[in-house]
Formats: sequence, C-alpha cells, structure tokens
Amino acid sequence: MFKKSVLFVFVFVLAFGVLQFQVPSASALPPGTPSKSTAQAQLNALVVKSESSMTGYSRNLFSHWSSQGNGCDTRQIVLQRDADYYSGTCPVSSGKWYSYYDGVTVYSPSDLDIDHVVPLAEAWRSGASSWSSETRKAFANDLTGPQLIAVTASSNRSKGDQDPSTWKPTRTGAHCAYAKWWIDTKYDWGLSVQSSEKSSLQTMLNSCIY
Amino acid sequence: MADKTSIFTASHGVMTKEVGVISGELELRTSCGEDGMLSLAITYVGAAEWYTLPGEDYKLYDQRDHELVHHLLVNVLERNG
Repeated sequence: MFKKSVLFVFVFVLAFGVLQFQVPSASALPPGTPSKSTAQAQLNALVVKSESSMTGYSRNLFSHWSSQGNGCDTRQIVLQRDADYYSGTCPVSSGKWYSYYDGVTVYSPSDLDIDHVVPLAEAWRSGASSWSSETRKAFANDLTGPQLIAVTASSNRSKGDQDPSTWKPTRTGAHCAYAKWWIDTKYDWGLSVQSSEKSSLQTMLNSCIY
Repeated sequence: MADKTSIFTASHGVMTKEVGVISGELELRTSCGEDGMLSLAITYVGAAEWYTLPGEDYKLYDQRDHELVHHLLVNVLERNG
C-alpha cells in the first residue's frame, strides 16, 4: 500500500513535469490570425484589380517605427512580443527568436528585421497611395493585426516588396499562416489584390488544416 | 559625369542595399565619373527615392564602354513574367 502510493506520487510528479515542458513559450506569432474559413471569406471579398503606379512613392511616406511609450518603438515591441525570451528593454539586447519564414533561430536582434507582411511598396500600389499620412503611419505600425513579424533580415530582404505570386516563405510549413496574415491585412486595410496574387494566396490557404 | 537611364520590368525583382528586393516597372541609372568609376542606382518608375545596387568600386577603363555595360545590366536585370 505504501509502495503503491509512492509510485502514484512519482507518476504524478512525472506527469506534472511533462506538462511543464509543454507550456508554450512566448507567442512567436502576430495577433489576429484568422481561421481558414474566415480567411477564405476575406479572400473572396477582396477587390481584384491590376496594380496602380509607384509615382510619388517613398518609404518616408509610411513613418515607422513610431513611439509606443516607455521609450519603446514599434520595432522593439515586436522584438519583445516575438521572442522566446529576451534581455534588455528598448533596446532589446539579446534573446532567442524563431524566424517563422525560414525556420532559422537567432540570438541577436541585429539579425532580425520586422517584416511588414504586406510590404509598404505593395500597399502603395494596391491602394495606400491615396491614404492620408496618418493612415499610412497606422498601417506601418499596426500592432493589432497580423501585419508585423520578426524574421531574419536575410528572409526579409529576399522578400522585399514581392507579393505571394513571386515570393513565399522558404519554409513550406509557414505558407498557411503567411497567406492568412496577408489576406487579413489586405482585408482590414481595404487593399486590392492582383489575380496572380489571389491564386497564389488560394493555393497557400488550401494547405491550411483549420 | 555621364548618366544613362533605362526603364524595364523585373517581375521577380532586383536586390537593393537599402530595402531588399524591389519589383515591377523599374528604372536603372548608371553614372560614369571622369575617372571611370561607375555607380548604379535603381528606383520604381516615378517614385521619389533611389536605391543602390549591391557591389561597388566598378571601374571602366574606357568610358566608351559605359553604354554597353548599361545595356548589359538592363538585360540581366529585366525579367518578365
């Protein structure tokens, strides 16, 4: 009887230990990721049209990164949000990040860019050229939707201004969420899609399980 | 300083130093100094800022090659569809 209860306690401790290991680390994903069905409805609702010109475009017209209080700007907030752990507060000095696009783990903030999931240039040619500067600033610093994510600088630079018809995350497992973030951002901000972009988004969304 | 500019389409983009890959209707500007030093800049057609192509310290030993090099670059960078 005594042995049995000891064994029970041992099993209980073991199980608890395993559960502890399964507690997720800090969320490495942006907020507001829609379900597959919601993203599908949003994609269906997007206006399909060819892109407008880049006349007058400048990144300076989308002011970023703006102050978020306590000496932190948007970039620093996303670095903190997407870290498994980090040290230093604005600036973050070190930590651990999993780059969702390419599956690379990095430990220095200087290896990371904050990607605009829908790039600023892409936003410009799909509707943002007619926005006010306040709207552009809100878009470029959008912390409420899935528009900003910390990824390796190399993946961000290889993506640049491209839409999903010419660039997708190198990690195939990232395609589902990437499509959801892109669709949700374009939907929330009333931006249009090209037909080639729409079909690439549909293909990636089809890879989602839920 | 002699400048040459060309407009072309790069649907899969061109790498820049400042902002990574840019794509679409682009304009390449190559500038050749008196000493033959070449600088390469690129922009979206009609946009308000220029970016730099990777690489530097390109030197032409004969400035008459500028036109040829310019067209060579445009042909390399242009990628439709």
